[in-house]
This record gives sequence, structure tokens and C-alpha cells, in this order.
Amino acid sequence: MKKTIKITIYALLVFFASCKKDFLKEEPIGFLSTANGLVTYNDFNEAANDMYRVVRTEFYTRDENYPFDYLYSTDLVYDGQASTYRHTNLLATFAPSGGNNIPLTHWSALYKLVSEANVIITRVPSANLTDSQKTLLVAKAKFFRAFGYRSLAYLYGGVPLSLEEVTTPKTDYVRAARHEVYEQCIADLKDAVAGLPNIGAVMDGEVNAQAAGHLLAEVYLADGQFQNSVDAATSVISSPLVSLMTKRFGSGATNANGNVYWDLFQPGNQNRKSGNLEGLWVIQIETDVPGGSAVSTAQAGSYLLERQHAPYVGLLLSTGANSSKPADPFLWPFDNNSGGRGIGWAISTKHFSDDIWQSDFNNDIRNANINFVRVFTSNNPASAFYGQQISVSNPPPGITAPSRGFYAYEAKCSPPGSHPANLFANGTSGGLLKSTAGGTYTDQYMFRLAETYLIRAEAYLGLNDKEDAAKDLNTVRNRSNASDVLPANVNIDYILDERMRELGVEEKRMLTLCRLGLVYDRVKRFNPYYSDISETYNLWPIPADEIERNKDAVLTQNPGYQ
Amino acid sequence: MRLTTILIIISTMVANARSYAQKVSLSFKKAPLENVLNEIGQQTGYSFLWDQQAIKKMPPIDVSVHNTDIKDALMISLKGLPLTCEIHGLVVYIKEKPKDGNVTFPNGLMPMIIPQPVIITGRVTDSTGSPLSGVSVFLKGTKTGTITDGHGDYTLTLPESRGILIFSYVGYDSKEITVSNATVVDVRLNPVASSLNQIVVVGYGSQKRTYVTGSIASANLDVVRDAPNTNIAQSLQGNIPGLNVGPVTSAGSTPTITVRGQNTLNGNTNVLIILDGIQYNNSLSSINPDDIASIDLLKDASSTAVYGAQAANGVLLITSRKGAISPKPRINLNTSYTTQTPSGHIRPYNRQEYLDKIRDLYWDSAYLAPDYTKLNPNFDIAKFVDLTMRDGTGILPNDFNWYNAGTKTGLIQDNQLSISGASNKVNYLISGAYTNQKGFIINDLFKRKSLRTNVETQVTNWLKVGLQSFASFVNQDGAEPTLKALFQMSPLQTPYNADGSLNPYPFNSVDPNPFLTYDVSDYERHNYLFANIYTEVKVPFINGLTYRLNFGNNGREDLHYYASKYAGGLTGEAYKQSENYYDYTLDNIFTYTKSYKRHNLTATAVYGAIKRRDESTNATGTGFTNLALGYNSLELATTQQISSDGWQETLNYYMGRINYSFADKYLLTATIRRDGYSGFAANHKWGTFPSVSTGWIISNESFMQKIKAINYLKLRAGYGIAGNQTQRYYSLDQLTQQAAYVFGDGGSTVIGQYISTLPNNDLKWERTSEINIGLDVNVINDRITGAFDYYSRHTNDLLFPVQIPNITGFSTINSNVGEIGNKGFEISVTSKNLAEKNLKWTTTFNFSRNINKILKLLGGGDLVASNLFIGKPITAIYGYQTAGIYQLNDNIPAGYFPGSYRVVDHNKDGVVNSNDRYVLGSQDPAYRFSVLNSFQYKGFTFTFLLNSIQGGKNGYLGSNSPSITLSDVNVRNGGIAGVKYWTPADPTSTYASSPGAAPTISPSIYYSRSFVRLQDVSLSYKLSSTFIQKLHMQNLSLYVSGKNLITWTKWKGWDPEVTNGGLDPNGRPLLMGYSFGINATF
Repeated sequence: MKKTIKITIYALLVFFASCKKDFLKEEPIGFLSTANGLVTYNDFNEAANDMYRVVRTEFYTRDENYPFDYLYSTDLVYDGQASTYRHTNLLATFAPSGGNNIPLTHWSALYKLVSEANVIITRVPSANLTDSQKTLLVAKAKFFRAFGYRSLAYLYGGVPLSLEEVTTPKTDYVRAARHEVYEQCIADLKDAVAGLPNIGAVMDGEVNAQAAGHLLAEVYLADGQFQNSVDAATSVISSPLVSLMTKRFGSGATNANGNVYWDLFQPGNQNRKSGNLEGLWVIQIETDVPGGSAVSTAQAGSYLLERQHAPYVGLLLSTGANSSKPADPFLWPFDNNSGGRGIGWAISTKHFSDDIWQSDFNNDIRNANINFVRVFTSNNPASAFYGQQISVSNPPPGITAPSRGFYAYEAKCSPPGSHPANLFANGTSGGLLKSTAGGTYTDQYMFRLAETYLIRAEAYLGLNDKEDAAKDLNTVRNRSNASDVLPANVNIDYILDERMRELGVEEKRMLTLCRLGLVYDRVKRFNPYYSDISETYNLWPIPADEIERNKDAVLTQNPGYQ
Repeated sequence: MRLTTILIIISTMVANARSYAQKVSLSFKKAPLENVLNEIGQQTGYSFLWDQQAIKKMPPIDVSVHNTDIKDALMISLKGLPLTCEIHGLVVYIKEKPKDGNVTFPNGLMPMIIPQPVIITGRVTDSTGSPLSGVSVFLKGTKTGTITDGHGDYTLTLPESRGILIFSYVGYDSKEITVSNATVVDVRLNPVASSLNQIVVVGYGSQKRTYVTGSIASANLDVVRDAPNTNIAQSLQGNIPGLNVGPVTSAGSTPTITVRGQNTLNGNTNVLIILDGIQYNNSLSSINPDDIASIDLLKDASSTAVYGAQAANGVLLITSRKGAISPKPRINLNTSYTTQTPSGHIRPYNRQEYLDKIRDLYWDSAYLAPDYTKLNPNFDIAKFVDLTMRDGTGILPNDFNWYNAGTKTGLIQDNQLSISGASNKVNYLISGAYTNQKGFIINDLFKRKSLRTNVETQVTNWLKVGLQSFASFVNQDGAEPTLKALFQMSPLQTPYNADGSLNPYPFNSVDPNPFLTYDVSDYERHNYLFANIYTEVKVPFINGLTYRLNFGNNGREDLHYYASKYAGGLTGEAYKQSENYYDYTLDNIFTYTKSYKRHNLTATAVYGAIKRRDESTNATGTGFTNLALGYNSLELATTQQISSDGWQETLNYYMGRINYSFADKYLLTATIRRDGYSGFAANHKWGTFPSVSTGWIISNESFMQKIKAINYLKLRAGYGIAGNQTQRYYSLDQLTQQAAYVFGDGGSTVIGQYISTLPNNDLKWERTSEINIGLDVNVINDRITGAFDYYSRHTNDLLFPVQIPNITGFSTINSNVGEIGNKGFEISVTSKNLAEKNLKWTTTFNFSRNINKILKLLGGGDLVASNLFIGKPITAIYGYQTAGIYQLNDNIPAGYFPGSYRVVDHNKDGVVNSNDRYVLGSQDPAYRFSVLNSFQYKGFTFTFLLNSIQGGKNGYLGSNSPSITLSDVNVRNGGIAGVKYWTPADPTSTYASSPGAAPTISPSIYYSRSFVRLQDVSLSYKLSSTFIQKLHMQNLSLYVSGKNLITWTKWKGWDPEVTNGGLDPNGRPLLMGYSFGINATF
């Protein structure tokens, strides 16, 4: 009986002895929250690092479609195979709701960038950091916030301004005027220029005072503040730390067929480490390194510009030069100037591949075959064409140019020799590529000094100073051995053409044309494929889902969309 | 006068007198002898045997004795009468005096007879006269007992010649027989007439079905024992009205299990599973179905409220078997063999159909303008096929069927062995099972070894200790190709290169050869461990109070190792993923039972805590120069990635419950539960969940006694509140960290982080309140039994990631929004249509209907972006109305093409755009029903179960409208035979096609998924007892069964019930099969 009592007492103790008070406290063991994860300088630097990732994902590596919304339905390229992802059927592509959700996808990514910047800008002032640490963090965040808002304002017009970290749901945003958004960007960028170190003092790929100055000049331009734009651009151009590359350099410097423009796009040649003083803000892509995005073992994570822009030469059928050797003229995919594993989705417009080069077709090094490929050499030993050169300007019977399988393309999307060893079918470099190829494995210029000149030229044009505009254009042209433009011939079309020549597929062309409101004008004149282009598409629609979610205020839709 | 003619046994058992008095005091004048003898019996406790007619003829007698020995008293009473008496044990025989007048008792006195052991034999049969083996036979109030053998015979030694024998057998009403001096007692047992005496598990205790006041149903497991189900959940399909079990399409997988309607938008919808009293979060596929004794389902909130914050979706209580109380162990062996093939028939395009598809995609070149109905003789299809499907001379010559090569008839082998038994103080069950399932897709494999030990011992008369434990080892090694990949491949290609090696990328795209899965190392194991150790203490001094401690432990280990030389872009990839899960439950349960006069009270109090913890680690290597060591040498990879994660959560709760009944007529159950959960937001750590329910057994009222047709009638009504827990970490602001960037060529990785969720400190659990009214009725001697339940549910504080503008940097915030209503009713009727000796026929009909409606949403209006509409079901389908396909010469609006679906301008504003969407219907069924028929003829039992889900008007809709757009992928991919897309030459085809980009709106077209299915059929034969006697067996039966044999539906494709079950290569078929098995008991 004693035992019974004892056990009963123990049992009652168990029952009434409540669990420890913190038994129900929720402490995640697999992740951090802001209370313990956004405290130290290191924590905030991690928050800043993430903005680079967001930018790279949005503009380069998200997938095979969305980064190229900045190219399709501009004057640069058109769709090699009909798809709303490549803007065939603009009504479906830019439907405010549903479909591929193109407007919403970019809107969300750019606002994510803004919000990450806002977290830093809101939290840093009260964090336990030194003043210089605070200044640097805020300058970085403001650079990215301005970069985000400027992209939003170009694409969508005036957008809602959110300038603080959001901690409770907010559903009553209203659109600011486009000008107000630009003003905000300008204010942020002024702080960024002041707070960011010079380009010589940062790691390759980091934002810096010169990159901020370049962006500031561009936003001034967008806002019509031409003199300020000139000044901002000048402060970048005049920096002794940067200059246009005029002499051969870097990894391909000994290649006798190359030239300095070609050098700019060879593997390893974008960062200052290679001697390149022209890159202002270089998006870093490292292969097979965590955080480097690109992998050599799959397509995902790579910048799939090669896949989009290089022609699908494997489609070409040999039709006859020698009936005993009917094999196709090209082995595909192949690592040479036939475009790697291109699949011919982004075909150069006639304007891009022909018209703009006419004045200096043979002397402009940017149009040399090594940079703008129009003559392909058959690489299939089984083909009747083997070893022969096939030109897009005069293709043999049965081959159509331009067509998805065959057109002139810009070689910077697929520099031969840049594919990682893992992508070669036989395991060693050279020759046939695996089906996982399709990426462009070089770092990418977001801002390059040549563009700063073109921005300043545009600003001078805005000031009606065609002399200085021509000077800047000619600085860029002269580096590529192109003849001078006469001031009288400088106009916005010329500048846009020059941007095409200099920047080509490197440029986020949609941003430029939206900034200028010239999407409709340029596409109508130079890209007949998009026959359904209209003034509506000078701006993208406000995503309809976003209008629905913002239930306590009205986000007005851009004209023409329903 | 022959004593053997009519004997009346008078048993004068005095309830509280176990000892037999030897002395009597009597005083009678002119009393009938019968009265005198009765009085002697009353005073002594002895039983009397006499011939009633003979006694009645006797004249009245006078007798007066005081404190006299029974023998003397009898002699005095019988003096002068032609009678004498004999006493054997405790029975007095009154007999006629022998004619010769000699009384043979020595000394002229009756001897005092000392009780002697008596051997009783007999045979137990069922109502048809067939012997029942394994029936337990016990002397009431003792531990003396035995069980019947294969002939139904038993032999039992009683300490004396009188007593009460209890005969009991599962599924039959037990019977009590009083024996006096008899040596042969044959008994016929009747099958359980009604389930009223059935014990129902109700959570932290059990109750007789008669006294249940909530909506609680028990699964009828007997009828599905022979069905080829590797997962216990499959047995429940169509078994209980209101319990909705989804289909199973892959080996060893667990179906979805939901109760009544959907209560939640985004929370957990699955039923809460309690295994032997312990919350069970592991896969049901770990449990050997044969180990399960019973499954009970708590449906309404008044019953589920004992499980509080987790119980809104119903509670499934699974109880494992115990050793039956019998001195002889029961050894049971069950083995079966099952085939499996798809129930729906879909095959891929053959060569010609595939080429036709390519031609049709290019109809504008393959046919002649302007009407495109005549083939263009100059159309050279070789120019249009994918370049991997042509060589220098033209199109590849193959016609390869990838689907056939990747599938075969599936097989399930199942072997189960169990030993169970019980002695005075210990009962035990030890079982082992091995299931080997080969799915119909090659390499869809499932092997399970499971072991169970249940032991319970009565340590002292106040202390019981027990263990319920099992270990289950699941092996799912082998990587299977997906059906999608098999359908995607082209018949013009084969999996192999000329040299016999696998062609890794037949399309020279990133789509791999599906058969690469045959050439990889894939090791996938899931190990489950479960142990509930419990003690039960009869608390001293307080009669009726017991204390039970449950300590449940649950562990799981998931291992997935993989190595493929083809992965990683043919550079080789290997990984090891491991996950470890452990939880414990500590429940303290006090139960107090008290009966006073006509009052019965059971009170239960529970205090408990649960803690769960999970940890996982993944390591992946890509780029191997040598993959010989596979996943065991990940360090050889050129790219190595590691990641790990973990979580934990805790729960703490109190529960109190009272079950009260008065006069077996008026019933009351009231509970209150308080739940704390770590995942609740800081401001709402605890929730309270009350419930009350009442019952009225009308048939026990005196006014009902005249209505003979109704032998049982009970009215139930209950109201309760149950919760649906938030997910852990739902209310926290979470930072996502990852390798973000690399600055500079050859630089090192930097980590980036961002806030990925908005915090919400006010987040609460969802609360479901429910009214349930039910009626249980048995009529015509239990020939027809029925239960009817009506319920109305109301769920508040729905958890939902409310969409907010992305301008905030977030797309959603987890919030409590809105209210959902569910109303419905359930009917279950069982009828014994025939109950003859040799032929029995029973039918059970189940019917359920639920209407789901969103009542309120945050902010008041519809949340279109989230597909939520007030007044409509959660599964509302918001889409476009279509009217056929645009033909070549139609007036086609911009953004559409010939072959596009014609979208109707539903709002008639002149423009077709997203404003033309409306609620077309819903995915919810209108009603479900099932019919179970069971026939028994001699040793044969035949059952079949029809199960059906019906959509009614615009309900139970599914999208099933394949469409195609001209693109590389669609040109090269295979497809489903019979799906012929629109062309001008085939203008009546209902499948849209697009020669260019997709049209602006490509609507889905919805069709009814209603079906009736012959879900289970089984025929079993129980071998005759003489035959199995020779084999020294207690039971031997053979059975054949079929699953999903016929489905009647208008739906096209795999199956209406499965996900993506239409003309969709992403779907998986429902499997049909036949099985054969033997069940032997020794």
C-alpha cells in the first residue's frame, strides 16, 4: 500500500507540475529572424549583398524568358519562333493579368529590390554601427533603390513610392508622377555618389561612385535635366580611374583576328583585374561557385543569351550542292563562331544587322565578322559544304537568311572558348557541346563607360549642343575605327543607332526605348515582325493583380490597357 | 411419473450470497410443498430440481424447524409423501420414492456432499449450426476458461457442478449459460445483432456505442480485410459517410483523408491521426494494415473537441490489436498476391499518329490554301520533324512505344504472421509482415518490413503496464521514370544508341531519356519506430478512479541517396539526403467512474505535452571524374553543395470531460480543452475549445415499449468548437539566407540575406464551431439499422496568405481572414435482407452531402487574385465560357487565331478580357455514396462495394482540354493517342491548336468528373472444419478479390478521381487489380 501511495503522489506531481514557462516559446532552429539576424555590420552587409543577387536574377539569370523581355519587341531583335514569351501577340504578352504575367514578374522583382534597400535605409540609422559604416551601407542601399525605381519608372511610368521598410500590410498605394520618381532617384543617387567609394577602391563588381554617377546622368536625362546630366556624366568620364579601352588587352590579346572591341567581351576581360578600365558596373557571373549563379552542369542559373540570340544552325538542311553528301552543313551545337548552342529565338532585325552599319561596314571593328558574325564556316565533315564559308548575305539555295537557322548575330553572346570544359561533349575543350549549353559564361556589363559618353551625347542633344554631342559620339566611334559623325547628323535616332552599334544585345534596350517613349516609333519603323505594336506599348501595364491587391486605393492603369 | 419429462430448474441464486447455508428455519401451516422448498432454497442458496406436475399434486404440508440442517429439514418436509431427495453438490433433486420403499441412505440420513470438480463439454455453433472455433468459454467470475477447437468443441473443468458459463466470440453476442449438474452444454451464438454494445474509442477513453452522443463512426474493417490495400487508409474509401479518402496511384503512397467539407483555405486539411492514443504524424504507409483492430472516426466538433486546436478536420483513432484472452495462443498467417494495371487506358501516339500531329501543327504548309483541307503534295515532312529525328536520308525509321517499355503489370506480395494470446496476467501480440509491391511503372517499388509487439501485464491488482510498439522499414530504392517523360518521348526515337548504350538526351535538349533512371543508384529508405509505454493505476481510497500515463515515442528516419552518371549535364551527380524526426507525447489521464442508482458518471481529465523535432542534411556533389563510389564519396565531386535545416515545435494541453447518463435514457457529454502551441503567435499562445452534446435513448422510454418495430432509437445533439493549428513559424519574420554573390573573378562566395516573410504577432488558430444533430435507429429486431447526421459548421479566423501589393516587398502576409460554412448530412443504413441458415445477405448504404461556402472575407469583397468568392465554395472555378473553336473563315478578333478557343464575351461589354471570367462551377462533389453488399452461403462470403462521387450540376468539375501551340517542344514531343488537334481539315475537333504564339486567352474547359466505381469485390471460402481439423488448424480460408474493376464515367483520360486524371501525361492512372490470398489460423 505504501508503494501505491508513493506512485500516486508521483503521478499527481507529474500532472500538476506544469511545463516550464518557456516550453511554448517559438525559437526557430533552422533560420534567423530580424531580431537576431539584422544586428551587426556583417548582418547588414549580407543584406546589401542580396541586392546584387536580385539585380543579377532580374536582368540576367532568372530563366530563359524573363531577362529577355528587355530585348524583344524593341528595334533590336524579333521572335524566331512564335511565342508570347518573345512578345509575339503583344496583346497576350502584355495582358495586365494572366498569361505569362510578364508585367507582374518584373514589377515584383524590382519592388523586391526597393524593399531590400528600404530595410537597410530604415534600420541602419538606429543600428549599433560606426558612422562610416552607416554612410557606406545607406549609400549602397540608395544606389540600388534608385536603380530599382528608375527601372520601374522607365517601364511603367509613375509608380508608387515606398521609402520605408514595410512591417505591416499596406494596401493603399497611389501612383506618384513619373517626375517625382525621378526626383527620388536623383536624391538617392546624389547620396550614393557622395557615399560610395571610387571604383578603384571597391571589389570587382561592387557598386561605386562612378557607377552611381553614370546612373545619375541617365536619370537626369530621363527627367529632362540635361545640364545636370552632362555634369554627372562628365564627373564620371573625367575620373582618372576610368577610360575607354583603346589597346588590345586581356585573355584574347594575342589572337591576331581579334580587336579591342572583341577583347571587351572575352572571358575574364570585364573586370578591372584584367586591365579593363571601361567597365563601371560589371555583373559578376562565376561558374560552378556557390553564389556565382552559372553552373556548367545545367542551363539553369546561366545567362542564356547565347541560347536566345545565336542562330539555330542545326536547323539548316543541306539541299543539294552535292547530292552524294546530303548531310547538314553545320554540326550543332558547336563551340566556334557558329553560335554555340543558339536556338535562333532572337533574330537580329534588318536594322540591327544591316542598316546601322552601312556607313562604315568594313572599317567599324564592331562590325568585323569576329564581332558581328555574318559569314559562317561549315563545320560538318560529312557535308558537301565542309570548310566552305556561307554568308547570310548570299546563302546557297535552300538556306534562307534571315531565318531562325541563319542570320547575322552579335558574337558577344557566345564568345568561342568561353564555354566551361564540362559543356563539351567529348569532355575536353573544343568542338561539340552538350545539350546543357546555351549560356553566356562571361561577366556582363550593366554600365560601361562607352555608354556614359552616349548618355552625355544625348544630354548635349537635349541642350541642342550637337557639337559636343557629336564629339562624344565620335569618341566612342573612333575607338572602333568608325568614321566621325557630323554634328548636323546627330539626332535621337542616330544616338539610338549608335547605342545599337556600341551596346547591341548588351543593352537593356526596352529600358532605353521606354525612357524615351520611343518603343512604338522605333519598332514600327525598324521591326515589322511586331505588326501589332501601338502607342500603348510605350509603357507596360500596371499589373492587374497589383491593382486588385491594392484594395484600399486605386492604382490607375496606363492608357490603352484593359 | 417420469422425472425426465418436464424438469424445471429453479435457480435461487441470491445475488450477494456466494456461500451456501446448511441451516434452515421454517414454519409453514398447510403450505404447498413448492413454497416450502422454495423457502429452503432461498435460505440455503441450493438449487432444486423437481417435476413440477408431481409436486403440484402433493397435498399441503405442515412443517416447523428451527436452525435445522438442510438434510433434516428436507426429510421432515417430505415425511409422509411419496418423495425423497438427493443432494449433489449444490443441487437438490426431489425424486419419487423407489417402489420397494427402501431408502438407501446410510444411517437413514442424507449424506453431506462436498462439491466436486465437474467436466463440462460441449460444442459452440453459429446461428446456422456451423461450428465456431476460437470461442472463449469462461466460468463467470473466475479465470477458469478455455476456447473451442476447430470443431467448435470445448472441454472445461469446473470446480463444482454449478455456475455460469460465458461464451464470447468477436462479432457475436456473448451468451451466459447457467449450469447445474449438466455435463454437456451446447451453445449457439448469434452474430452481433447491433453494434450497440460495440466499444467505441472516443479519445482518451472509450464508450459503449449506446452511450455515444457525438458523431462518431467506426470503420467496417472486416469487409475490406481481403482487399489488396498496402495502406490502411485505402480500406477506408467509401467505408464511412463523411470520410473522404482520395485515390492511391503510386506504390506505398498514402491517400489524402479529409472529413466532411473543407474547413480551411490554406491550413492543414488532413484528418488528425491518433494511433493507440498517441498523435501520429508519420506516414500511414508505415503501418501494417493487419495489425489494426479498429478504426474510429470523430466527425463533429463535439467529439473532436477533446483534441482541441488540432481537431477541426476530424480525428481518426486507430487501435492496434491486442492478444485475446484465451489460454491457447492464436497463430495467424495471411499471404496474398495481387496484380496491378491501370484502370484507364491511354497510350501514346504511334509513329503514324505522331507524324500526323506534326503535319497538323504545320497545317498552313501541309495543306493547300485557301481552305487547307487538301494535303499539299509538295509538303516534305522530313523538313519539319525535329533534327534529332532525321538523318542524312530522311526521317528515322523507328516506331518505338516508350510507354510500353516503361511499364508492366504491377505485383504486390503480402505476407503477414502474427502470434497472439493471453494468460491470466499478460496478453500479447507479436506480428511481422513483409509487403513487396512493384508498381506498374518500372522501378516504382515499395518494400515494407514491419514488426509489432503489443504486451500488457497486470502487475498487481491495481497496476497495469503495457507497451504498444512497432518498427517499420520501408525500402523504396529505385528511380522510376515519370509517365510524363514516357509520353513526351517520340516514337521515332529509341532509348538506345547503336552501340546499345542509353542515349541520355534523345532530343539533344535538356529533357533526359526517361530510362536513365534504370542506370542510376537510388537508395531510398524510410524507417519508422513507434513505442507507447503506458501504465494504468487504480488509485487507492477513491473507488473508480484510475490514472493512466501514456509515454508515446515516435521516430522516423528518411534516407535518400542517389548517384547518376547522367545527371549534372552528364558530368555525374550524387547526393545524400537524410532527415531525422522524433516526437514524444506525455499524457496524464485520470478517469473516474461512478454509478449511483440510475446515474452513471465518467469523468476524464488530461494533462499532456508534445514535443517534435526534425533535422535534415543534404549533401550534393556534381562533376565526377569517377563515380564508381557513387554517393559514398561525394568529396570526389568538383562542385560540392551542402545544406541543412531543422525545426521544432511544442504543444501543451489540458482537457476535462464528463460523460453522464441517467436511467440509460438521458446522456450528456461535456468537454473543455485548453491548448498551447509554440507556433501560435506571441499574442495568442493559448486557445480554449469547449463542447457539449446530449443524447436521448427514446427507445428506453416506457411509451416506446409498445412499438415493437423500433427496438432502438436515439437522438443526439451536440455543439463544439475545435481548432486548426497554424503552421510553425507562420507568424515570424523570417530571414532567408543563401550564397548570394561572388565579387571578382575567382572571388569567394558572399552570403546574402533578406526578409522573406512579414511577421504577424496576432495570428490565431482557425476556429470551427459545429452543430451536429443525429439519429440512430434499429428496427425490426435489428434487421435494419441506420444512422443519420446533420451538421452545420462555421469556421472563423481562416488562415490565409492574403495577397498584398508587391510594392511592400512581399506578395502575401499570413493572416486570419474570413469565414467558411460547411453544411451537410450523412446517412448510413444497414439492412439484413436475408438471414437464413445457409444464406445471408446484408446491404450497407452510405450517403453524404456537403455544401461548402465562403461566408466572409477580409475587407468584405471577393479576393479574385486568390480565387475566393463570397457565397461560393473554396474550390470555385473562375474562368471563361467558351463556344467551340474559331474556324478558318470566322471573324477572329485580334490576339486569336483559327484553332483558338472562342472565348465568350460573358459580360457583353464588347471586349473579351479578364473581366469575362465568372464562377463556372466548383470542384466540390454534390454528394458521395457507397453501397456494400455482402452475401454468405455456407462457407462462402461474397462482398462488393460500389463507390461513387457525383458532381450534380456544375460540381466536381475538372479541367480536361489539351491544346497545343506550334513550338519546337510541341513538334518534338509525343502525346496521347486520340487527342487530335484542330486543323481546317478537321474542323470538328474540340482540342485547340495554335499555329503561332498562344492566343491572348487560352481558357481551360471543364468537364464533370462524376463516376460510379466497382471499388472492391471479394469472394472468400472458409474451409470445412473437418478438413482443417486434420491440419490442426482453427481456421483456413481462401479468397480472391478485385479492386477498381469497373468505373462508369463520362470523363476522358486516366481516371476522374486522380489528380491530373484527364488526357494529361502528368497524371498517373488509378490501378486496378486482382488478388489471391490464404488466411490460416493455428
